[in-house]
Amino acid sequence: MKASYLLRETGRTIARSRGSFVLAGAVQTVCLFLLSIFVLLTFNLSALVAAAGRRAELYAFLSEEAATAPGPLLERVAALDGITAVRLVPPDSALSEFRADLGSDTLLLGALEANPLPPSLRVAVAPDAATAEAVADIERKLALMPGVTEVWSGREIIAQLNRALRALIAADALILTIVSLSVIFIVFQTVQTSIAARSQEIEIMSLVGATRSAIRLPFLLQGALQGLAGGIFAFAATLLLHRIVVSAVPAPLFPAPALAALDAGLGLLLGLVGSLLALNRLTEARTPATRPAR
Amino acid sequence: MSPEETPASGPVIELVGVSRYYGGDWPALTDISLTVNRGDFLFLLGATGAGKTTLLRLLYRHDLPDSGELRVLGNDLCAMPERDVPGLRRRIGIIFQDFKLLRDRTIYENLEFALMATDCQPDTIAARIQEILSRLGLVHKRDCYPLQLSGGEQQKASIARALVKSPDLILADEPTGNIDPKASDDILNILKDVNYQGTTVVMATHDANLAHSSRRRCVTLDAGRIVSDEG
Repeated sequence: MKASYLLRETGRTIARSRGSFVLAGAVQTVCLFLLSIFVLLTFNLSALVAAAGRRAELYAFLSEEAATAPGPLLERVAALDGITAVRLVPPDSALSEFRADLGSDTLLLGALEANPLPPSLRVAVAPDAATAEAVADIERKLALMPGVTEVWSGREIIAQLNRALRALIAADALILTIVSLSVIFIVFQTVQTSIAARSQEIEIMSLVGATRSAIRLPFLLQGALQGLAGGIFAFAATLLLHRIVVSAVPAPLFPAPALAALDAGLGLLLGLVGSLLALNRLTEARTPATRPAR
Repeated sequence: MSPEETPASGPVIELVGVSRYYGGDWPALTDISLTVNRGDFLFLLGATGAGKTTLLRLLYRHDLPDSGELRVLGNDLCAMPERDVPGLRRRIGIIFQDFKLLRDRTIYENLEFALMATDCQPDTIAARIQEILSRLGLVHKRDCYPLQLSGGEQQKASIARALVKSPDLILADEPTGNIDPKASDDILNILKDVNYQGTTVVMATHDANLAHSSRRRCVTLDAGRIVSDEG
């Protein structure tokens, strides 16, 4: 069948049931948009966890006395396995760094009469040695050193982030399943409606000797286009949401090509599956494949 | 033999002991044996419910018999795989009492639809449609929609759609059932002309006068059995 004729027939199919096509496309867009948001959250959280893991820096807070003669302590810490650098951060420097980190939100710091931050050691761990067990071991050894009042490695936060990431991935899988089933069902219903609306054309095509593929292709193309359109609109909506969000909070990561490919590809795939299922029922209903059983 | 090949000789239609039951035991056709040779014009005569439509449906492989042998255009339809059915139907022109024209397409588009759906060479379509519409006197109606035509003209358009594929066999199911006597004569003359040019025609009708006055072979069905075969 000529491609232009196929497209024309597909256009007729869509035009015949344009109401349900638009409605189904809108529902599909919402489904895929929801999935995109979750994928985006997962991507950003995953990047955050990776960055936190790469940092591999411990804070050992010191007593005032230890900070006055830190030389021996610095030597003992530097001698630990996996340590690449150690530096003393006096309270004033810690406050300056904190102020720089906060940026413009320093209103609360202005209300402070004294510097509450203690002196500390910043202990950098070699990236290849920064496993959870190794960091926990270094943390334990630092805590036992005289003059060290408290050690903070951020392990709890990273562990919490990892737990949140795992939960988010599980939610992604659940949403992917729900969205996939929903989109397949929507396309299935729309193509079924189109098949009913074009039953006379199908009958005539069959009677004049059109092949199975010639009868099925316009409906298959309809499902694919519907899925693809849903995916494209979902990506556009996600892009718009991202633009709105970045104006309010620090810019989250937005992997545009990957997300566009995911939305469009998944929409296309699910559209094809939905229309194939609908067409399968059409074939089963129409052809006496074998001599009837007696 | 593939469904596209034409046997050099032999019958176009051959039924041996064909029976078809609906609902398990209601006999629509019982023990039908019939041979139609190349170039024949055959009337299938019978009242409503006699089995004419059931027989035609078997001939274009819309249905299968419960028992018996059935060959059309050299193909054993009972053994024919589903993928070969389109090839068979491309060689058969089917005409219905209710025309089965697409109402949202012009007469030209109805014919084009039948050709495009069967992988006809696109550059030959316009010429083939023009030729067949001229032959049936429908050129001036080519851009009309079916509902803008009379019943007779719609049936002519339906015949045009069947003929535009240059079929070896025409199966017409009560083609004059929905039209006035004058238009019926026109339709019959067109089918006779088609037959005169070598195409085998099988026409089902309940109109005994029409069938007998044509002086062609006439097979009469009653309650699913052949009760006479004359001419």
